[in-house]
Amino acid sequence: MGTAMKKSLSKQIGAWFLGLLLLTVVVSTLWNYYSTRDAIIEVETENMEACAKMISGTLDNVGLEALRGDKGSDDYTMIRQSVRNQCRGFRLIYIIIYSLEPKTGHREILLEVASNPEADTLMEQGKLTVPAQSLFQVEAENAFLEGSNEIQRGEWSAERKQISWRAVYRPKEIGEIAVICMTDGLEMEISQIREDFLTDILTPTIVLSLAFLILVILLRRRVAEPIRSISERMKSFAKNSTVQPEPLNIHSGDEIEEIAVSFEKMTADISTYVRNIERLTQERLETDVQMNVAGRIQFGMVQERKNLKIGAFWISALTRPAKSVGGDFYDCFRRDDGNICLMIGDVSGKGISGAIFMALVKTMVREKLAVGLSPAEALNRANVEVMLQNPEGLFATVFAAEVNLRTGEMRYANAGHNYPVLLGGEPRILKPNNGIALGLFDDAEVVDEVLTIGVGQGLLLYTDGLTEAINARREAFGMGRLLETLKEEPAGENLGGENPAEEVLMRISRAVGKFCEGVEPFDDIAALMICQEDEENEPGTEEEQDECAREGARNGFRPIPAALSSFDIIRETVFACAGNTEKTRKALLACDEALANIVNYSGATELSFACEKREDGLEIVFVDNGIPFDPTAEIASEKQFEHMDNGGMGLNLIRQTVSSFQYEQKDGKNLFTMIFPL
Amino acid sequence: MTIEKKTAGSTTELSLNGWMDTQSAPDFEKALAELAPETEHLILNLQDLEYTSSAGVRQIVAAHKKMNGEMTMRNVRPEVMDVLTMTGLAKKLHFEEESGKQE
Repeated sequence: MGTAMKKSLSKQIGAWFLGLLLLTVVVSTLWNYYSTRDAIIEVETENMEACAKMISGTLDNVGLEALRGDKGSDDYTMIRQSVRNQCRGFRLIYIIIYSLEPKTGHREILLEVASNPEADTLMEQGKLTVPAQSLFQVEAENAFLEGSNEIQRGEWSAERKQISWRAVYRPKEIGEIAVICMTDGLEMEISQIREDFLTDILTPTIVLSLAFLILVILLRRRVAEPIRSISERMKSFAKNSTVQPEPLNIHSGDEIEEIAVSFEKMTADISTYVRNIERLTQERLETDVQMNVAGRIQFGMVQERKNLKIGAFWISALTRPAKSVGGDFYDCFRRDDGNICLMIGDVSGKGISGAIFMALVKTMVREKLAVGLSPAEALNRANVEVMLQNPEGLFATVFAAEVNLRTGEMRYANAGHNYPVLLGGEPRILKPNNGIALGLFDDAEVVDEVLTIGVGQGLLLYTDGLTEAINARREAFGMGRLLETLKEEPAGENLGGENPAEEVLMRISRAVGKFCEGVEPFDDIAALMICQEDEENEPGTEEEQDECAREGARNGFRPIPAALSSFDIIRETVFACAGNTEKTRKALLACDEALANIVNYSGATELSFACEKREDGLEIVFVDNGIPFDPTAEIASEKQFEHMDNGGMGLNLIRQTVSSFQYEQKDGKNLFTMIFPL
Repeated sequence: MTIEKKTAGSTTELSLNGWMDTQSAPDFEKALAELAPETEHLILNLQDLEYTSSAGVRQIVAAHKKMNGEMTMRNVRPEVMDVLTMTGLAKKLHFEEESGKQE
């Protein structure tokens, strides 16, 4: 039986049935035995009393002397014959007459007869006798000795214990007492009753019980055992439904076998399904992980950087992928010549293929901008390369620009991308002479154009996911609503906030979010905003100060070991430079992360560090000779991606702490500049 | 999106109706694949095409390449024209207006 099972059904039924049967047998036996026995005893006692009276009468007539005399005399023979007839007539077994001496209590056997002829013959010849000393019944004899004339009843005892004697006494006269002692057939009758009972009741009962036992055993083997094995397999199957239970091997040919066969088929089916589901779940999980990884790579590529301030320019970005990986991208970096390069783009595919294509296009354009090509040259050359590596026929629209920080002059080129919006004063759509999107034709026909972003002016770049965001009524957000949103506040105030670029993007994000409430995003949204600070400082002056400060900081470079222990030196230097305040401690936290990144992942052997307190904050610069790694771009290769979890968290922390940061690669060295608020 | 096909000699005209987006662009791709090999000139009548997504742009370029430039865009709506202009495709395509003949 299974441990969990409280009681087996077949055992319960069997136990109850056997118990009741036994009880019935015992009760009926006892009742039968005692009722019959008492009745017989009553009849026999009356019988014996009648017999005793008759023998007493005979003894009264002939006297005891006749029995003491010659055993061969006629009187003796006549009396013996008479007593023997009584014995037979009353269905007794033995009759023994003995005398009892009142004074001494001495017993003398006078006559012995038996109903059985053989026994009687032996008694007559004196070969069978009952020893006088063995016959006594103290209570009955005492009653006679005290003078009672009544017939006494009682159990007679003898040495032969297996025989129970019954006796009736009859005193003849004072001085001599004759005791007539007789054995009735009670024992025989009772044993007869027992025999009858055995044959009539007990035997059939036992036979029935045996038959029932066999039935129970058969039931157990045919029904209970198979059901139990089915139930055990069900239990084990319920615990682990991927493993199919061992075959049941029930071939009873009845309903049980049908159940077993159905059960086996069911478990086989279920475990197949469960295994399938597990496999699918696993595959789904792997796909999810891959999508997640792709999303993180892409997230790294499009950069979730919010606040970037370079010189007088604020740059801010916004992304909202519709799926886990999207096709929109943007990039922003500072070139060696000091110009800021910007790009925003949208690839025609979504999902993984779109993301891979996006990565390809973005890398190509960035690479070309970085080496100093003009936006149009960069886009045209990238197009030629994309055409060679584009079996899927995907294409990408890209807007690229470079901004001169001193003059605010922006050189830009548009390969089929949405028209940007110029802010500052009345927002207006900038309609460049668009070239063809990259990846469509061998010649993209992209051309450079020039525009100046003046003080308080800005440029909003975005992807069509913004203007084509669909609401519940299937209306597009559209250019009109975008311009309305941008007009909401006077342009001057617009761009004069804490971070005006971010402020504009937040406003757009809120407006689109409200417009599309309750609708699943259909397309990615990306937006990039650059604007020049609306303040008294001449941009050129600011830039010059910036440059001077940078030079100052660089001159103060101090080589430190490329080890985590260098943090002590950094801490001392920072405290010496800007004091031990909550803000410098926060800055140190970011320094710790930057140091850990360099030491743990870049493989740098040389490291130097500079720290300078400036008007706009505390500038800290790290220079190392490790593998190129742009912390501002977060992730650029698979190798670095392995360390994403660790490095990524640190980078997030840095990002939250700095007011701006910047990465450059110069002469094979990584230059990482962070500016902290003071 | 629904596509209507009219063939006159070696010229085939495909009239697109509705939205051409990621879901419906493959229909156009199919129609393009089913063009008879002897087709020498393709006319895309976009009178009733309200919108095209980048997937649609890809298919238009594919058609242009398949026809080796022997393709005319007819009655393009301003919304679609904007997309074609923006993506720079307008530079490569041949457009014509044909109003009276339609009615």
